[in-house]
Amino acid sequence: MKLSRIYIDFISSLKIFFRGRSSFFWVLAFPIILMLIFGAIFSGGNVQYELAVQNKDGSDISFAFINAVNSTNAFKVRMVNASENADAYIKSNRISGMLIVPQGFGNQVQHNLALGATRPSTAVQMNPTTTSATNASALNATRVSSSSSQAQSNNTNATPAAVILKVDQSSTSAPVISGVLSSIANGFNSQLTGSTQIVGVENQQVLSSQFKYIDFFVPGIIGLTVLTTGVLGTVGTNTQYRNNGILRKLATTPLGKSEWIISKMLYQTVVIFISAALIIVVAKLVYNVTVVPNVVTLLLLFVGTICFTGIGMIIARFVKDEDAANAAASAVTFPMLFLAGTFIPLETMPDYLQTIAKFLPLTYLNYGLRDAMILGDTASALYNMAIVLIAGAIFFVIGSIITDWREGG
Amino acid sequence: MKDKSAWAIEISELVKEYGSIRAVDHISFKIPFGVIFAFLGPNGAGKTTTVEMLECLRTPSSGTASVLGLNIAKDQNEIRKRIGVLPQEFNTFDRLTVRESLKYYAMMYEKARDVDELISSVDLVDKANTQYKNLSGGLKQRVGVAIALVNDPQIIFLDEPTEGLDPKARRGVWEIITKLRDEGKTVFLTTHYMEEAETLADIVAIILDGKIRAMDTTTNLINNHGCQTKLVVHGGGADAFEALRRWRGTELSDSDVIVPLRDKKDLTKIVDLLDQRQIAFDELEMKKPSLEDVFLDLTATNWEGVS
Repeated sequence: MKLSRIYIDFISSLKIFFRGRSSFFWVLAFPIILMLIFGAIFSGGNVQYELAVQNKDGSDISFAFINAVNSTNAFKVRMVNASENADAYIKSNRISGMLIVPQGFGNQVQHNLALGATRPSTAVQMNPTTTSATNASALNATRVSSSSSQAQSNNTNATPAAVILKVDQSSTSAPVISGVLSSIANGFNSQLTGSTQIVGVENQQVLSSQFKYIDFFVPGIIGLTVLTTGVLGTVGTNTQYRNNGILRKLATTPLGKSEWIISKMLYQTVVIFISAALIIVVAKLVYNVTVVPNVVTLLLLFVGTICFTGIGMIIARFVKDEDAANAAASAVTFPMLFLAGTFIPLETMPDYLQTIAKFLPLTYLNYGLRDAMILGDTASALYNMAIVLIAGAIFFVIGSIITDWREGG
Repeated sequence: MKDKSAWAIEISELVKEYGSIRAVDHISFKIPFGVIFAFLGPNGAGKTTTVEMLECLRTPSSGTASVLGLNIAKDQNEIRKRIGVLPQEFNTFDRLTVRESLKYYAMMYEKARDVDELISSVDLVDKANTQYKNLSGGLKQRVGVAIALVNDPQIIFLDEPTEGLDPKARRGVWEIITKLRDEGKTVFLTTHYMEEAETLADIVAIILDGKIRAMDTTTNLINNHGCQTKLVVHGGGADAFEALRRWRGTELSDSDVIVPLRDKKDLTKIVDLLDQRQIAFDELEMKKPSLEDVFLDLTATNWEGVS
């Protein structure tokens, strides 16, 4: 193996890339355009969101509140045992919303009513992560309380009864879930007091760091770039070079298959690094995102490149016609994009699709990038990276072995 | 290695099979150093398969072959360092310039020729900084030849080097090939152009259905296959054909009559006969036998049907 051969192929690949307008657009500009579009239009859809509910109180009033939540049809309610640790449950089940009715909720409501306080309140606590529920820096809160400060001052003995909502703020559904629950709380108050519209919503940030949906979408777009550059780039290069005879010519030189694959890997990695850097810079300038790339992020990008380049090599080996190979690559990448939670929260999908997502390397790359760039949860990022690495090693070894370099090439 | 071998290429009983199809069928021949060897045959005859085995791109099913005294089954890495290849339908990276492409391939080898000197030798100095995609077909082939020479090889394999080129560009490539022989290189030329083989080659081999049908110098091939000089009576029509049909092999092609001549006296006899019968014609043309006649004789195939 000669480094000079790897070097010249790597440098030449970069020159070819930067001189090609279409590849330049699809690899560098397209993900940014996609991010800007999604960033502009993201919002919760008109769908039923899965909401875990834990009733630690057990009073009639607590059940009445849960029934009110259930009756809206906005949520698919999943009851959770009162003894379950909420954070652990969120983490292990990767759900995006959990409502907790704390012990004493019913008594507090009764107490407030007896005092003449006409507005039991719901305190809605936001938890932006399902993978790291203990990440305190990621927490902020929205408190639903009386809109009438005068009424509040007149009832100093009344402590608002509160329910707690933990949501995954990386999900597009986060603002919808909290908004719907605020409305339900208002309606519940109205029923109890016999009057209408006596409570309002006060947003209150309780911690310094606040994350937006776009912060969580950026790693997904970077995952998309790794996937498409790895699979489509490899398939495109291999089939094009095979069909126009370049591979046959290269095979008559001392350039070895391993040297070719290594140089192409390095090239793909550099292109992905450049693309990721551009995405982050644009996202920072346009949306003021708080993503923080670090060494783990770079490692994840490299491991993801190995994985998806391997998949690309396998496709290119079996589908030799250029158009058919590109179609096959698209058939692999596009479903994976959607099933791996890049655009659509996994929890809004049917169970069987969520099961499929567990077998997709992009799912773990997306989780890993979010852990590394948003949540600062290195342990979880490394765990996800290990899964991508194992899948990548398998795909890459198979792809390297079966890539036809000489006979029939 | 070259010193140990008397032959640039030596092939013995070489066979290549794809399933039940035998593309190359027990071929054997030897090529001396410093010649242009033309490998002729229609598409599907086994030319490219044979060449690709010699270039170490395909593995023979059986038989042996050596290039520069190196075994194609065992010494592939060494062979690749010492041969130059212009593949059929050559292509290189569209968005690299001529100089960048040559530098790319030069770095594949431990020893390589100076890139600028190479550019000059194929007359591409003006196009050195032009991207490959912006070159004409003839200039692209020149780049291909230059790339094939980048490691200063002892043998150069040129597979259909003038395919699709206009006559001017074709002659430009021919000049380069002739120059290679003058420099002492051995050129293995695969072509289906008869004129190209006849103009350039010192030795010609004709392959058909995977078998070598003939191999010799061009002159010997023509002489040995009994091809005759022909007289063409342009515009003679049916009258001339009737008068001359007693010459065996006479044909009427449109209004032209083609008469194979057995000896020099035939020409006088034919002219006298046409004059005697007052048969009008446009002109007379003597057609010397060519490699194409040899090929048609060997294959009994209409050459126009072979591309």
